[in-house]
Amino acid sequence: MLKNAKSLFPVKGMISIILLVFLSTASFGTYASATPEEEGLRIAREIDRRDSGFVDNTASMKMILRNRHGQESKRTIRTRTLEVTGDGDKSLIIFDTPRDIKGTAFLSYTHVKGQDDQWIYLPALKRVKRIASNNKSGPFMGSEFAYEDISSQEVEKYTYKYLKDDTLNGAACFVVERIPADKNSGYTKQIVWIDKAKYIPEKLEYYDRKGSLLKTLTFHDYKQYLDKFWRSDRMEMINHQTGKSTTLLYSEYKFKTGLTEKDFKQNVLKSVR
Amino acid sequence: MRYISFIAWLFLLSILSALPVDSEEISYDFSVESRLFPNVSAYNVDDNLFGSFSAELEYYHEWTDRNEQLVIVPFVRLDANDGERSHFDLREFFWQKRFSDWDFNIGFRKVFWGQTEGLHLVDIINQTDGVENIDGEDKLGQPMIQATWLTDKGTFDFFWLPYFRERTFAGKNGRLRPLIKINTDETIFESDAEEWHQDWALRWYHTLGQFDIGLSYFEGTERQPLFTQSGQFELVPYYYQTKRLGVDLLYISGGWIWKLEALSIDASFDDRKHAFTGGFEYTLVGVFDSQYDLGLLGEYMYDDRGKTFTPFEHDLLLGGRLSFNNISGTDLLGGLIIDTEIGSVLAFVEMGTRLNDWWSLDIEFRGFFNQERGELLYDLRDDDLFQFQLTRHM
Repeated sequence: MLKNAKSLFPVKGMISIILLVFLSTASFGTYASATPEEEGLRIAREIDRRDSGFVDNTASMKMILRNRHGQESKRTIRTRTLEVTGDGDKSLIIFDTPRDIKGTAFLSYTHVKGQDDQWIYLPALKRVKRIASNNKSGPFMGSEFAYEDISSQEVEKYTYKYLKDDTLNGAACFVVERIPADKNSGYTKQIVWIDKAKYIPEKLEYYDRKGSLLKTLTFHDYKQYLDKFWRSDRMEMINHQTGKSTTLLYSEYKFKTGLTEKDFKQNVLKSVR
Repeated sequence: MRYISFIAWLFLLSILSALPVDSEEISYDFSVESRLFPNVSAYNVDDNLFGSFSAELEYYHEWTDRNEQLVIVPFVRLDANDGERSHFDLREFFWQKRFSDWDFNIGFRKVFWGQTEGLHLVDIINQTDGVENIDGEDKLGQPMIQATWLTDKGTFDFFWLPYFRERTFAGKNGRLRPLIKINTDETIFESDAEEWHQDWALRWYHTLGQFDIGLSYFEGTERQPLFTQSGQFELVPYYYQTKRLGVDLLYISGGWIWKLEALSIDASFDDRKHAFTGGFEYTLVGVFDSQYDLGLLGEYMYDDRGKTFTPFEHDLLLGGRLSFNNISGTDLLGGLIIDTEIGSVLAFVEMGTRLNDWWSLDIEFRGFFNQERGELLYDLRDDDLFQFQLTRHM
């Protein structure tokens, strides 16, 4: 997922290679002298680097929505993601239940720069509709996840600041603050706990436009795929202001399934079932 | 007889479902609908309350690696009052095969073209199932061979449409019909081949950053008929040949979506005609400090095909869409279509919500105000209606 690796390190000739070696040695040696912003960005890029090369993946998901009284409502969903070199990922989300929205599908092209492109397919009308891109702060299908929470997390979508080290459930973590670059975001900031050994998020706090704590997302039951990619089987999002919560249960993760650009064209929305 | 064929379909599907397969599914929707007309009609139908039942079944069979599928969607409605509204249709019955750059579909399918909300000018492939609702959103299955070519320069769709489906109209005991009843048994066609006139169409569509663009061409039998009076008491549909060039365009920027559909029509009996509709949808996210989204809609409609063809010659749609973003997925859409010259108004409110995982409810209101004599909707002036539909999904 390191989309702009080439532009970050335009290695041309021996001088730049030497420079690169020097820079990496220097940063290793003078770890403490990096500013909190540089350290935050370094961590974000390292997360991205370690998760790059998955090519594509598919998964099944159960979404459990709970109101403040604990009443539950379930949705079953399939997801398909394609890694795009040089830009944000493409993803397709297909709803199997509840039955009245069966076949409804979301297609999104995330971009490193600018607004994402999003379409929804309405099976009853056989109609593909483009969705306004300022809706990113809106709830995704009535859940506590906003569109921006479920979309591909590109490095460029935030500015970073390393805050401190912490221990979470016995694991050593970096604590990094990130501020969304897009003014349409529903958040003023997010605070992320990142496992130091694996470079995977363990906990995420969302702060609303007034700066108050809005939601907390925790990641559980990580599994490693292809000896490289960590995926959480269970995510818990709690809204502190409404008492509502949403659980995402992932299963059947598959990588390198052979998906291509063609599987993420509008045309395909009409054939997914 | 037509219900026997529906039962035959159920039987066929039960055999199909017994086959060993890679992936398949059957789902059903059963609905009860009641329509309440507060006023006595402008024609000779006194009934105020109409009840009906409908069922739609979807059978879906997918072969290995998602590249081949069979879809069968039969639909049936039984209406207690209007015999014409009781009908069976094969909404979909097609086989699809996908290759690397080409997709092929053969059979009955539904295809939608266009971008605007109030009026679907460019959309032409499927015939409107007029007895279902007067908003024209319900379509009959269209037999076709469709080839889709996927390229970096957009998607090209080629359609061969070997058989024409006639529009359905409310019968003499039904509401939402003209004063003089329509007799679809005497339908007249311009083409000697009648329903077997071979229609064809082309469409190219593409996304270029903030633009979605579509260009389309259709040559064949116009889906919306004209009417000729046969004797004193009957109207007979007349289907003529047409060549239509269409453009549909969408531009998105932040909360704004701008939409345009334009059409150039070359009918054999007339000069070249034009129609367009366009406007905006502006979305306010989290309106009133809530989780609701409010979409504001404004679209203008122009059509020079005349008032015997369309009620929307120079009309303005103003409306709003409220999405509750709740667990029930509640949605509310309301608006007015105002004739800018005559001042007649068509009002509508549509609400849909899920009751639980298995039941959903849809409520609609339509009102006809200030309709003038000579206008297409004049006979519907007393057909304001409330419609309730309860659906069980299985």
